[in-house]
Amino acid sequence: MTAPKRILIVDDDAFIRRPLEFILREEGYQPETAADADEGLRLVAACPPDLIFLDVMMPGKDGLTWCAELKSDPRYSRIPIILLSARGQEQDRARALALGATDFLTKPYSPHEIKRRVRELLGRG
Amino acid sequence: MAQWSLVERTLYAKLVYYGPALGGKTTNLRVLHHETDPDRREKLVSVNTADDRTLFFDLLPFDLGSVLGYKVALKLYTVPGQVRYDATRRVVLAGADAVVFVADSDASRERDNRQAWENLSQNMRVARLDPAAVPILVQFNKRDLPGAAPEARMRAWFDLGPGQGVPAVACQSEGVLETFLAASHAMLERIVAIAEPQTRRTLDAGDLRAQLDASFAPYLARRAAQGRSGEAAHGRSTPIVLESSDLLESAVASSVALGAQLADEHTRAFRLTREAESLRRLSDALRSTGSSFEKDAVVDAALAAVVTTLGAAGAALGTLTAAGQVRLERSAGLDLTPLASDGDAKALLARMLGSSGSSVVDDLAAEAPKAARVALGLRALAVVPVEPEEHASLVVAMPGPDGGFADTDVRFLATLAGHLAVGLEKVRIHGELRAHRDRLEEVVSQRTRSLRKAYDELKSVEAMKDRFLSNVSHEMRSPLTAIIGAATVLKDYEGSPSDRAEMADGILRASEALKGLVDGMMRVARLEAGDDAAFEDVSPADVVTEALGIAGAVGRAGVHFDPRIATIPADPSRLARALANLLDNALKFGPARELIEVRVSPCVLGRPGGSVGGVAFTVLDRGPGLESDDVERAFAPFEQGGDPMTGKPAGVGLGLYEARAIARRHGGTIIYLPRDGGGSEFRMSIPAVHAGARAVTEAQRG
Repeated sequence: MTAPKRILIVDDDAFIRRPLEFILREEGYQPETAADADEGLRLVAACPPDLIFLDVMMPGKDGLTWCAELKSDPRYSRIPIILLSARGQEQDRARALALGATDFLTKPYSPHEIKRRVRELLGRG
Repeated sequence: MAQWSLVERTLYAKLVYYGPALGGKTTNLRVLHHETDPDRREKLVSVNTADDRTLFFDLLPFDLGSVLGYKVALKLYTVPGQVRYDATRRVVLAGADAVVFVADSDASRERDNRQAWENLSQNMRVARLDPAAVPILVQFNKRDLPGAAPEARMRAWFDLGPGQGVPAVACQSEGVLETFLAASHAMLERIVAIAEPQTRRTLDAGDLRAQLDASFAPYLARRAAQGRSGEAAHGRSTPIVLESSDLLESAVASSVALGAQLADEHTRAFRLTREAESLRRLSDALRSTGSSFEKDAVVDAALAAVVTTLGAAGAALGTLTAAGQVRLERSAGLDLTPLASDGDAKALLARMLGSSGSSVVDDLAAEAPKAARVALGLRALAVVPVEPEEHASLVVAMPGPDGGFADTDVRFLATLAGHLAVGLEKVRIHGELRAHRDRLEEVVSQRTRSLRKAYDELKSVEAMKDRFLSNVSHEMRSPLTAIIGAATVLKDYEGSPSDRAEMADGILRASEALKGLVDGMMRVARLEAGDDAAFEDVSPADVVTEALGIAGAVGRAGVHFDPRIATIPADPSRLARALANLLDNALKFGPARELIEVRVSPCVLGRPGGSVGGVAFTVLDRGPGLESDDVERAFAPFEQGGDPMTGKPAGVGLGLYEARAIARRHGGTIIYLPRDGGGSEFRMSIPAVHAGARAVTEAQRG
């Protein structure tokens, strides 16, 4: 039996983080959470996760910037990143994909959609 | 003046119809033209603008048959009535043997009538027509007008004696022939009175009058037979009328027509082909310069005509300035400008230019020896007024030793000066038209600019609305995400009781956030709708306490009260909301662990009628502050501080807008100041006296 896949959720809003964390755990994954990029980087550095959910708008370093940094770092560049944004503009999506993000989801998203995307990327937990 | 041509055995006389614009001068001539037979009169030449105003003059030559072997020929002219054509009026008036003044009976035109009357006497002085010797007959036209002034009153306008003035309704042919005959009688009397003795012996004024009356008797009889039912005369008339909608073309055409006419008269009267040719040349020059309407070109053409016609040494246009300075310009032939700098010559010229008539100095050497001898070697000098009111004159110098001015030379110069004045008038009017057109163009471009500005403003409102929708939707998406996530957990998963409690709590918090958003939008909507505020005496301390509660800032703000503050008239919940919005911003943008600061202190508010005391609520933070360019934007509705892409805190963008609108509703203000040592300072000042209706209006407007 392989170890559960590790998923990092980075969002400054705890009320958004918590349901996502709960559902992913129930689905057999190993979620971890961070409220900003700095905290997220500590977790990534300690043990690179298999997938990152990343909020675009956060205090401090925003999601797009951090995504670009991770994608340009050879140690972490292969980790898939799904950006989550409360803004749905097409130019944001285009910019996210150009930076190397795997996907760009607009809030409010359906938890079942999240489950489906995770299953596609990582297989069943 | 009347001319007796011994060769042609013809008496030429000139009758000029004068009067205010649109008074009926041309109508008089049209009626005469229509009512008389073709063998008595020639063609009526009329140069009109499209709106039926005489642009230049009308000319109606009459053949009155012969008196004792002399043919009697009358020339009837009208002058243009519009104020601007003064030089043209002077030229047409020159040499008149009698004047018909066509007054407008419209009582509301008293001023126009009086002005035209005054203008006539001025121009008669300029044209050297003695008002005592040249008969003036006044016609009271338009008697049929409902608003016609009583005849007695009109006599007072023109200082006429009892019984003077001929009533007329020119457009119905009434009184036109009568006016003409009365004026002609007076004119013939005068012509005989001033004729040469030997001519006078052969003529008798009574004979002439009888001849005239006999000539017109059939027409009077015809009119009497028609009774007063006659149709409008000019409706049936077929004069030669040159109509042109193009004012400038007409001006040129009429310049040429007058030049040719003057040339014709002079040819026949004086047999001075030299003058005629000069005038023709000047006409041609005016026509060729007509397309450009340059003052210099018109002046040069006239000066060249003087030099070549008279064989003058030089000619220039001279002016005496208001300061008494002599200026000579545009010399043709010899350069005369040095005359204006020589002491003696300068004084002489100043004297000559200052006089209202023509003057000649035959022996320049005696008056200004140095100028005559050393500088120019000139013999005689003539100064002939062109524009008397401007003290602008032709200055002409003859070479020595035999040069001098004959009487005919001076008469020629006067005619030419009149013609030049007309040319200059056309130049000036053309300039006015051009300036008018330029002003129109300026107005059009201003309109275009303001339309462009309005369009840009509309576009920016449009963009603001787009941003607002985007911001509102963003503000709603985050709580909705939390609610959908937590509700999914509760519905689809078991979870522990504490997990389920946490999810329910998340749903509640997110719902409250949504409610706050909707409430804020509703508050702003009500504020903008201008509903009534509930004013009462409020303690600033209570306002601060409530605001801290609304903003969730209890324990995160240090509050300083000045002991001198008193109560203020305010809508307490709205004022607390305004302060809460300021606190909210300070909490949002300030560093998380640093206290924000609130100060409440007395202040003074400037007012148009003096200043009033009040209370200032100041909120200070140590956040990034605002760039000066961003201050006004921050107060605009639906603008949020910070760039969403940089992850700075965002809001729906109504906080400052709502706060300022509330402050204005109270007659107060909110200003932004950069805080010493970094950060923001928002100061809301509320007057201690009731804002009143004016402030409410301002709030609605602002």
